[in-house]
Amino acid sequence: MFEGAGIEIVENPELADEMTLNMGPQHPSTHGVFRLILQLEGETVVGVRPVMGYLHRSTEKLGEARTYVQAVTLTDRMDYLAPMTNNWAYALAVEKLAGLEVPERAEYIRVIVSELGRIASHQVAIGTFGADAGTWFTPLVYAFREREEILDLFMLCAGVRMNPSYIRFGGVARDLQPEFVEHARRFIDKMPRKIDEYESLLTNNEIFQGRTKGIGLLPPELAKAYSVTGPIARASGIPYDVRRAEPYGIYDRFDWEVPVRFGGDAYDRYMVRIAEMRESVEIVRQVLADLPEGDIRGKMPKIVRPPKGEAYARLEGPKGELGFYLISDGSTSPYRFKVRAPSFINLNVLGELTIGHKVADAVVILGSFDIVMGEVDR
Amino acid sequence: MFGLGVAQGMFTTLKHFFSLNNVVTVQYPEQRIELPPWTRGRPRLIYDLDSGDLRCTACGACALACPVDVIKIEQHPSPVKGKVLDRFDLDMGGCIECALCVEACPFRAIVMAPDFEFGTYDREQSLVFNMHELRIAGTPEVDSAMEYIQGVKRGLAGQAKAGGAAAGGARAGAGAAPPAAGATRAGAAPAPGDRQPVGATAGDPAKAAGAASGPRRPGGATGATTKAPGAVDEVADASGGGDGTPEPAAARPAASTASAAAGGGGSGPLARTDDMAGLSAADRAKIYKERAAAAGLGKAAPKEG
Repeated sequence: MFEGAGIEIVENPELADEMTLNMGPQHPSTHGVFRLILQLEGETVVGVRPVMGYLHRSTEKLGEARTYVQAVTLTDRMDYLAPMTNNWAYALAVEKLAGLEVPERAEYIRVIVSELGRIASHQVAIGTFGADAGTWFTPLVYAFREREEILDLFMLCAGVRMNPSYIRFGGVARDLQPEFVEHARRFIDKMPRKIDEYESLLTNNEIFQGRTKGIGLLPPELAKAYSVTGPIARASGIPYDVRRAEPYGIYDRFDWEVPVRFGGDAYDRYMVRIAEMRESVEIVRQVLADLPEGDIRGKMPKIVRPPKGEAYARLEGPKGELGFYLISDGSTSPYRFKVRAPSFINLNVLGELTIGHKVADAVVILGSFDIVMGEVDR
Repeated sequence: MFGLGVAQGMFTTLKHFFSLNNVVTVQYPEQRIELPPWTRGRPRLIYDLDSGDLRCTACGACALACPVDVIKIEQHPSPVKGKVLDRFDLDMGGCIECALCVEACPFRAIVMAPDFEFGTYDREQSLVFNMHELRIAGTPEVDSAMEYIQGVKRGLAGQAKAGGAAAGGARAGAGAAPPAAGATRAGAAPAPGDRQPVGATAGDPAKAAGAASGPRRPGGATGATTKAPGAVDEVADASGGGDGTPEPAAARPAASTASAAAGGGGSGPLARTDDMAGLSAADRAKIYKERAAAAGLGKAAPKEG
């Protein structure tokens, strides 16, 4: 019983030499301010309690106090590693609510920036996962090298590297620079070789395999029971991807595959992310090939006042299914602003996976989940 | 064979260790990546080159659009027409650089300049910038950057392109290369050097190179991209002494970014000086007013009602 934090841990009286260990909230491998209360017997984890909320910024409530346009800036700051998909999910919800139309060119631009964002997010995921598994910072530095180029591409289209607020309801905020297309093509051409390079550092490395294979086994039934989505679910053999299951935007026009693996362990989660990066590269290549000219923003009123009603829109973020639920009361700001954050929902299965493993493996399992605390706590 | 995968990774790292020409880092304070002119940094208020007056009409659209409420505007009705801007304070301590103010402005009066170094020892005074410190010259680069950031306001941009709008006066007078079809592609338009306020004359080779090369390639993958005194810094610097007080061009390039970031806008009579530390934005505004009057820059000071 933890009186201070009001957190309860079920103690097992039969185990005499149990120890309670607080990992976090400021532990480098918790990827932010996240606290794991581990109950240990020797070095084996027998009880886990994740404690969230250290980074709570009441994004949802703030969204209700802002106009529809202003709330875009809040969505950037949830999953700050993939802000474009956050913008898009929110834009989808508002478009559904207000019945706005999106021009063709804007749809293409959205796919380009979102898939680039997905690559950038997975680069951080595999880089930090390697760091958690004991590779120190070598893969991370290699991954960040190309991530920088993606952020510089965002600089060209949005004007900033992070928090772009680029995808707006009704289209995108700015047109693409001609340089953007040129640089994006060059980047896409070299990216497969760079992914090979990441793989040469990790995939066949026996130490890395020893640390990750068979660790944190997530059976598909458990994944479904906890509504786990994203690469974690696809590594457990669930071929569920919102881009394929319920195509939004123009994803149904492109030829790509949903990478699925059936091991369900930390290694397979890593492999699914690698495969997804390759698929994203392919998608961007196809989009760039037939990027149409035209408007970037559809007709819309100067001040957006959606009619009374509610809308839920979802898309496949890098971490899983990201959904926005908005209720409008006919005013200029949403009456309810609710986010289905994939990191938060995926994280709930962590306790089930960690029990029985060693402490060092708990770090690897958490690393394989690729959480972003800005999204977990919102 | 066990250990082959480890060896594979070692080979990759060794390959990079011995290849000397793929440096991807930039030695930051000495080398600087040249930022595109539409970089979302600190919001700045545009003044017309011809008159020296701020384009801002104190309508308050930017303050309304701001999601974090860092723009404070005070105005009084003008005896002639419209409103007179008394106070425009921007708290960079809270600004999230989202550019919604630029998108909201119907008078093309606000732009985001690539200022990003705001290190300071206090939050209350040094980070609140008043309307004098936020001045930036309405050069064609700044105008096209502003149009690009505004993005969706096609109609307004077209109106300005026609040259009829009063706000577009500076560019209409420039006569050289109005960014016609490429109005939303900042940096593509060459700089008409003869209209530059200070320093950035047509003969300035660094300036010409910066303007001609346009936006740099992303990535900075060549470590040698040192900071050239690009168009934006010239403009940022010009905001301080832009009203007909030329200064030696040679002294400018090295100090331009630092001074623009540290204070309101470079050197000149309207630069933020050390003795202003600890003063509030309103007090600093008084000092600027006095100095502007002393330097004969009547138009730089706010108009008396």
